[in-house]
Amino acid sequence: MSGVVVNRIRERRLALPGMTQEKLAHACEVTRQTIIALEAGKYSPSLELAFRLALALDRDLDDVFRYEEKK
Amino acid sequence: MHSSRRLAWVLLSVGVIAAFAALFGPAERWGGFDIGAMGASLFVGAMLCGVWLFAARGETVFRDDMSIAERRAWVGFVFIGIILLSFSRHLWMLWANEIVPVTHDQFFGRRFIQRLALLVIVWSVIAHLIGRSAGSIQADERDLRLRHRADRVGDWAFTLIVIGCIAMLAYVPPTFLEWWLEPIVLANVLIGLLIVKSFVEHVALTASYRVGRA
Repeated sequence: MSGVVVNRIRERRLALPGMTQEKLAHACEVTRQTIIALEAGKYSPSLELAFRLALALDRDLDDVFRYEEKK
Repeated sequence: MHSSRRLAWVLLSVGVIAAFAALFGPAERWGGFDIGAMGASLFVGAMLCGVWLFAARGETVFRDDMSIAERRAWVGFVFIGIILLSFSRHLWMLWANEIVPVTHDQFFGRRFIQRLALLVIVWSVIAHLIGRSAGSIQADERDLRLRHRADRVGDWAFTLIVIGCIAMLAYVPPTFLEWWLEPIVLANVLIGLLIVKSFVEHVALTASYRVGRA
């Protein structure tokens, strides 16, 4: 069984006023390029980073990330 | 395209052409010009201009969506490529001329060492200058994951090359390998293998970044 981690980082980030990619990157201690890759769905974060992102976006983890099984 | 990026491409092109002229230029003069010496001078000039460019306008040389680690990977790819080219050329020249070195001084000419030292110093300076604008985060988990993947590709390449060497030692007539099995030559061939490994790692790393941005 294989699947893919889908995220709603961009959507959740834009819902927060003034939350730029740069600010989110700084809050999560990653580079802005990693946020770009995450939002584009080209990178699956570690569990720790996923929690940090959810915390920075003021959401629950499952509100930002979703696991989809491949059919 | 930003003017700094355009200048970087010009310097890179000039540097690569100059490096080829310095390494593969004819021994005799062409129309009164020493192509090799001119290439070497031009190469040093291009590298110094490169250092100035990164010191003065480093933040605009690369695309904005490239991380610090990716920028360093691309610079590393260029420098390790030139080092590999230079090393291979040097080894080839000694082999072609059937020079059997006894000491390291005989194996490495002073010019070769100077060239290598200059490349490593300029590479280190540019890598440092690239990191100046990064703040506290020089590399994150994505960079480390890509680095780890590239290291694995390098390990595989190294293993394959070693297997190739073993096969060569087993099947190629010893008389043909006489020069290559001189202790100093053999030691330097092993250094060459490490350079190849590093080059493969840089190719894999830059390719991973490139694919990740596509």
